[in-house]
Amino acid sequence: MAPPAVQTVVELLLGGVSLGGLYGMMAFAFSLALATTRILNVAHGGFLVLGAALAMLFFRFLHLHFLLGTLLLLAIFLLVGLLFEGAFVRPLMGRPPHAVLVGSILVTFGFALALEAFLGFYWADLVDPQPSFTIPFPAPTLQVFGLTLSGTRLTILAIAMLTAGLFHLLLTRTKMGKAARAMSEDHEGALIIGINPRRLSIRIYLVGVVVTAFSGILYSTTAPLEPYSGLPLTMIALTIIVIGGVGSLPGALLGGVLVGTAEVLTTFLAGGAWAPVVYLLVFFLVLVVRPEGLFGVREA
Amino acid sequence: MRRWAAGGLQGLAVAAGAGLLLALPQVATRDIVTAVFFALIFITLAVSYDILGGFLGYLNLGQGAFFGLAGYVLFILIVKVAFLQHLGPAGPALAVLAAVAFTALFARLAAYPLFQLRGAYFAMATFGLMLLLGHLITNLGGLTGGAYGLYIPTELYLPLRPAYTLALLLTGLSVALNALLARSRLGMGLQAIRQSELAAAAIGIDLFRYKSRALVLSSLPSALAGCLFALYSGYIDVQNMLGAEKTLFPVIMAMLGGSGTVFGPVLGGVIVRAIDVSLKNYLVLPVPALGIYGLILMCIGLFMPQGILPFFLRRRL
Amino acid sequence: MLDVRGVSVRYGDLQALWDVTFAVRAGELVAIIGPNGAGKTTILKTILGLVRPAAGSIDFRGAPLTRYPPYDRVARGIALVPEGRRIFPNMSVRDTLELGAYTAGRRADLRPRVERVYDLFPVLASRQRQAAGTLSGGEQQMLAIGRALMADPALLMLDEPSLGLAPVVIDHLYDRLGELKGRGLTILLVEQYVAGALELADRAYVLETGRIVREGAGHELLADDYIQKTYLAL
Repeated sequence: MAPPAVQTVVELLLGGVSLGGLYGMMAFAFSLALATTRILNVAHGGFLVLGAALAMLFFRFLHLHFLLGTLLLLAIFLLVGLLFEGAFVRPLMGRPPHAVLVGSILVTFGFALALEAFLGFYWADLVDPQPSFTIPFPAPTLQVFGLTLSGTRLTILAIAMLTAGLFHLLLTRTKMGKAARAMSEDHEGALIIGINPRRLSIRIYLVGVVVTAFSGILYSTTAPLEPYSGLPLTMIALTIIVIGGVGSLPGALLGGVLVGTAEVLTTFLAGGAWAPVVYLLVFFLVLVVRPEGLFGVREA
Repeated sequence: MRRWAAGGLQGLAVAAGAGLLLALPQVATRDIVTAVFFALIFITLAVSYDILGGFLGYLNLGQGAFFGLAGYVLFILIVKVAFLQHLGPAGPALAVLAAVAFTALFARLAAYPLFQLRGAYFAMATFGLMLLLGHLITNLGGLTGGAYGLYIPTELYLPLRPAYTLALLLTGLSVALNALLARSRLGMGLQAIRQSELAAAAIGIDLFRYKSRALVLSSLPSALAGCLFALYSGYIDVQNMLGAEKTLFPVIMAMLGGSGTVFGPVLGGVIVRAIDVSLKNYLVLPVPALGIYGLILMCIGLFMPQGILPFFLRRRL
Repeated sequence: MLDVRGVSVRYGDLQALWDVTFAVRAGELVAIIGPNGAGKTTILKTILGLVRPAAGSIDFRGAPLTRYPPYDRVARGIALVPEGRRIFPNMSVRDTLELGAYTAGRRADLRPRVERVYDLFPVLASRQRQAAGTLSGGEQQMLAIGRALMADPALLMLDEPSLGLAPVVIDHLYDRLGELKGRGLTILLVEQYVAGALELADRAYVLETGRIVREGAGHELLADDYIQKTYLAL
């Protein structure tokens, strides 16, 4: 048996890093959409909540078979991505850059609020009077050198690393990924070589919504989500890309681990209520100290 | 010529409107006066929001932070500083002054991180600032009452009549501030910055100074509105002082009526409050109110980036 | 091959092009010269579809282009080497070139295209793993031209390729342009480097404040009094 202090530290670190990996993958989906389409999607956190809520509905209330439910979720998330892109991203794309940013905030903020309000309202009405989305996933614990490691957190960490690897391959090996990089590095340059911005943005939202919604499901295996968790999660994604730079995959992962670890440590030392204070303070601190981001160049 | 005539007509309409509103408590029921009081509070928020949103072209999603912060500082002073309660009406007045000054100082300091940013990043940072304030207030329960909120003694409550008159005065002053700003050097500078930051810097405008002045100016009417609202309510908590609608309504109102025009936010405010009152009192829909406002915000962003007033003005001219 | 007829372009209250009409025939190198702000870049952007004309028509290979977005125009055989090069700084030379053939089908074999670009600009071959942002100005310009050639265009448009480059580098670039012309590629060249452009051009147009004020064969204009006084300072 390892001494209890060591066990606690290792648990905290594992908790922070696995939460950070999860944050990193959802933040990168946010960041990639922002870099290529210039749409700042305030409703991004809402996709995590939506993912967790639907998964809970399918598995805990309707008791769907695991495989069937997962396929159904995938189909729904793809549909959500398609509709979201078509309804909110496409109409804004032709406008001048400043109008795109402001318009995207209004539209997606409005969508996020409507989603929160309707989800909370009808969930309480139809499913459960206390809306809270959580999916217990009791993975067996692992014993290493006398330390007990949470199987759930190890699974999350593994999935996050796998997703990061897939994102890396997408960006460096596929035509779509290279086009996305070109689009985020020089918008007009990308149009000039014949990249179709519409087709690219649809694909980015399809990938982005699926990754984000599934990371919401993962999140809900360790902590509950509520209808109103969406906007704070968007702020977390924003904090991470302020730290890591827009469109940067390593930046998103490092920023994610930083924010995730800070959150876990704060919760342990001062209580959960202080965790949002810490990441918001980090957000403003980075802005004051290094407005261009810690690891990358941020375009305003 | 037409411009002069239009200006005269506008002045006449404003004077007539102000007269009607002043006389309102004599003729209307208490419910109506209360509704108009709340409308005036929100219109002040919308008008002061528009100093940044309209003149400077910066989307401030944290206008409610000034409103809530001022209300909290005011109540903390009244509750914790004992001698203020023995000064009669001068006590709360002094506390209001201190609360507004504190809020202005806060705005000045917030300018440092906020104006590192532009566009959507700025907007999100302002929203983050408001969230941060809400969390701090909830966590610092010893000072702020945390989740329980703060009360002031009943004898310090502001009755409806004087609260209404003060709100009317405040709204008038807030509109006047924007009208003056539109003609001032500062206002011109802000509009130059909105057109092009590069060009504005090139003609010698100190970008940060102009922007931070605009932020401080926009914090003043909002802070006063927060104090007025808190004194009338007698009770504050994070929900009623820093809730999402405190930051959402000003944006919707200004955008709907026409951001960047003096009377756009007022018009938008009247429309939104009318919708709100009918939603709460007359129409019983199986939908949450916040959801409706979310949808309105979405539609403004998609279909009416200019707002209502400029839409009709362009038609006429 | 390219027919531009009566094109006018407005940016808000500002009119950038007034009733511009010109043509490029297959195999020709046509130059458009003129001072800064005359609207030269706007012409190229309008042809590629990045800017919408307020009036006029553009025909390419006998079919009207006006309704198509930029990516369709690239697929139809128009490639642009833009002003300021607009390369992707963190992307490798090889990746940049391959992206240049973005509109080519999935099964298109890119290797011979890349080889042709490396034959034209051997220096790019030696830098193929390097990030584009680390190249010198001249090399970046070669990369931008190579990227455009990767699309295998019928019409190559260049926007001030000489801008900001040393005279030796400009000479080298113009030799390569001559080589491309010799292979029968149709080229539309926009330049402020008037002497070089007119020497290379079959025909040229002079654009001033959004209007075409003069046209003629390259050597004719080179000998023209007005051109000599205004642009060549002789």
